[in-house]
Order: sequence, then structure tokens, then C-alpha cells
Amino acid sequence: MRTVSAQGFDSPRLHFHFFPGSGCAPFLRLRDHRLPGQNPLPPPRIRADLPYPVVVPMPYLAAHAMNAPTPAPRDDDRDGSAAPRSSDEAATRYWGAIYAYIRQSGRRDDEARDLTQGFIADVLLGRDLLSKLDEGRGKFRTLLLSAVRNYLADAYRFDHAARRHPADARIVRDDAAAESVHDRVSASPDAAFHRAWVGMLIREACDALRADCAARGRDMAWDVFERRILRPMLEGAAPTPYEDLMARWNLDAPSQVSNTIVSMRRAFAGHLLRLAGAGNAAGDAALARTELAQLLSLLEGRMQ
Amino acid sequence: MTDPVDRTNRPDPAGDGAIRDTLAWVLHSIDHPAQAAGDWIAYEVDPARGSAVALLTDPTAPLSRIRRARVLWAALRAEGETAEERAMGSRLAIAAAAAAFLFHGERITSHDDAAMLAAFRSVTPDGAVPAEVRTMVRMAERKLAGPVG
Repeated sequence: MRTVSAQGFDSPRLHFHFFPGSGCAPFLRLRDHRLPGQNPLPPPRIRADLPYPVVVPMPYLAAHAMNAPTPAPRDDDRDGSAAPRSSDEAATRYWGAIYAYIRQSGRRDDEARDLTQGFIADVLLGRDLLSKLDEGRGKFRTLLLSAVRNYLADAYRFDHAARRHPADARIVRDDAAAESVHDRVSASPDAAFHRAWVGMLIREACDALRADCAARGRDMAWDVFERRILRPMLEGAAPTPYEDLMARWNLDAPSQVSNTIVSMRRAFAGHLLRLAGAGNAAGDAALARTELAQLLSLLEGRMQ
Repeated sequence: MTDPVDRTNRPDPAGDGAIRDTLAWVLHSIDHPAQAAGDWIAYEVDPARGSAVALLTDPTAPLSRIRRARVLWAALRAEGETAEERAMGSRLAIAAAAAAFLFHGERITSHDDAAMLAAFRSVTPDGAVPAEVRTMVRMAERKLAGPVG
């Protein structure tokens, strides 16, 4: 084994341990040697009460705590394209979906984290997978899923080759623990990936809408939408009663709340549609709509 | 009216259902924007039924919720962002009056019967209104007009 150092995708120095002779694409075991508080990697959001390793609400909660700073509008939001601008950004953006697939394939949490980081360093950044993002976000979703699947297959082959021919004959197997984590009842790895992907889109649509409201001074609209729709829908929070919202914002009639909700739902849908179609030809809403419909079909198990 | 929402029947939060529901209503708003606006208000009033069709065609829907929905749809008619939204608000407010009359025998508007009848007849030919709702309004129209001959 040889060890090299490189600048990681979020700047701190990372150490890659190469295991030569695997007979397949270079497989990296990535170890994070950064000091505490030193620009941590995006953590997975795991809820013990749910069978999924990554769910939408937790990242949403983290990003949208009531007192969290409003995200700044992205420059590229103006031209309708919200595709990642850099590999670093892509690594952060797709972490959840990649981790979800690997975790749901039966890996332990720590294994899944290592493999996710390895995939990001080796494939997403190392082979510049992002450069192939030229035919639309939907295509990239498929490409990314396929790349993760292949990477795991390579990792599996390497792992089993090492077990058949252990260098020091002291490899400890922990399959039982992994098996106990793997939830055979819930979604397939593909489904977990797509679910995390949709979660990413929803989270980004929330960010965009929130920034939009802040820029236009629509604090009341965001607050109403968040308290009546987003938090109840995504986090299971009790919706804030109409009378509380009316008192909070000095509104005269319940219809002011309901009309605001209609307006904000429409705006949210617009952002989600734009994000789903990011990378497509400008203005091609039909492709974006198809992508959303495909994602819904995948989540409902109507597509493989 | 303070809180027009029944909070006892919200969908399962934070699970796959919530994610799918979010995608579904976004797609619905893309495919049928005006109808989606009407449905979102119906959802505010009665999450268990969740759509204008379900609320307006269910004979067991409580009169109080139909009244509340009518008020909010009437406000959409006045303050909706698009012409289609305002038109849908107008149609659904009339349909709410029709449902109250058909299923509960109550007149929930200040209009006289002739004006109500004219309003019902304005809804039934409008293809933008869901077919099930138009059928219900047609039944209300017949009930209000009384036996023929």
C-alpha cells in the first residue's frame, strides 16, 4: 500500500491510501485526517425512526433553522441554470444521493462514508464526471447512478479478492454487523439514490425560494409557507394555526393566508421545475417536467 | 372563522409519502395550474379530502368546511395572481354554494334563488372545472329549479 496526499474537494489535506493489484479501477480508501472544526465533510442525516439512511427533512432542518441566515441568491439562478458550477460544489451537492445508494446496498455507516468519499475523490473529481454534464440533469442523474453502481462493484471485487488472498491473514470480517444494518425491507439502493436526489432538488428549491422572498421583501410569504406547508410536509411539524399567523403578521382575513399559500406553492413549483431541468436547453420546461414525472414514477416503483 | 384547517388528517410526514406528495402536487400545478390553486385551498380546509373534487362531491363533507372553502375560493376570485386562477376561484365558490344546497339543503350565499340558478348554469359548461364538480352543480341546479312540468 502506498499513501499519497492531495488537496481534497473542500480544501483540507486528505490522504489517499492506494491498494494496488486489485485488478480493477483504482480503488481508494479515503481517510479524513482533518482536525476537529476543520471544514467538516457534509455529514449524512440519519433518522433512527426511518428506514432510510438519508432523508430530506434533516438537511432541510439544518439549512432552514428559523434563525439561519438567508441563502444568498446564486448568480446562475438568473439565467435559469442551477447546475453545479464546480466539482467542489458537485461533491457537496451529490453527497447525499451517493451515500444513500451505498448505505442502502448494505454497507455499515462508516464503510458507506468511506466509500462515498472515495467515490467523490476518485470518480466524481478524479475522472471529472461533471464534465459529462452536457445533456441535462436527468442524464447526469443516470450517469452518476451508474458510476456509483460500478464503483461499488469494483470495491466489492477488490474486497473479496483481498479476503481470498489476505496479505497478513488477519483481516477481520464484520459481515454480521453490516447485515444487521442493511434494511432488506425498505427501498433498493436505486430507490434510496432517487429519493435522496429528489430530496436534494426539494432542498435547493427551498433555498432558492427563500432567497427570492428575502430579496423581494416577502418575509411574510416565506414564513407562512414554511409554517403551513414546508415544515408540516417535510418534518411532520404541526402547521401553525391561521389565527397565529394572522396575529404574527397583522393580517385581517384568513384568505390572506390562503392566497399567500397558493402564490408560494406556485413559486416553489417553479423553482423545482427549473432545478429539475437545469442543464437542459434554456426554457425547455417539457424536459424538466418529464424529469420530475420520471422521478415520481421511480419513487412509486413504476419504473426501474 | 379563525383557523379553517382541520389538522387531524395531515399526511404521514417526513417519509416517502411526503416526498412523493410534494412531487405530485408540483406536477399537478404544472399540468393544471388553475385547478391546482383550487385544490390547494381545498387542502387547507380539509386535508383529508385534499382536493376540490373530493370536498365538493362528498355528501358527507361537513357544511362548515364547505362554507369555509367558499370564503377562501371567493377570495381567490378577487385576489388570485392569474386570470385562470381568479376564474377558477369564482367557479369553485359557486360550486361550494351548489354543494351546500344539494347535500345539506342550505343556502350559504346572500343571493336569491334566481341568481343562484344563473350562477350554477354559468359553471356547468366551463370545461376548466372538473367534470365531477360540474355534474354535482348540474344536480344542484335541477334540485333548485324544481320538478319540471
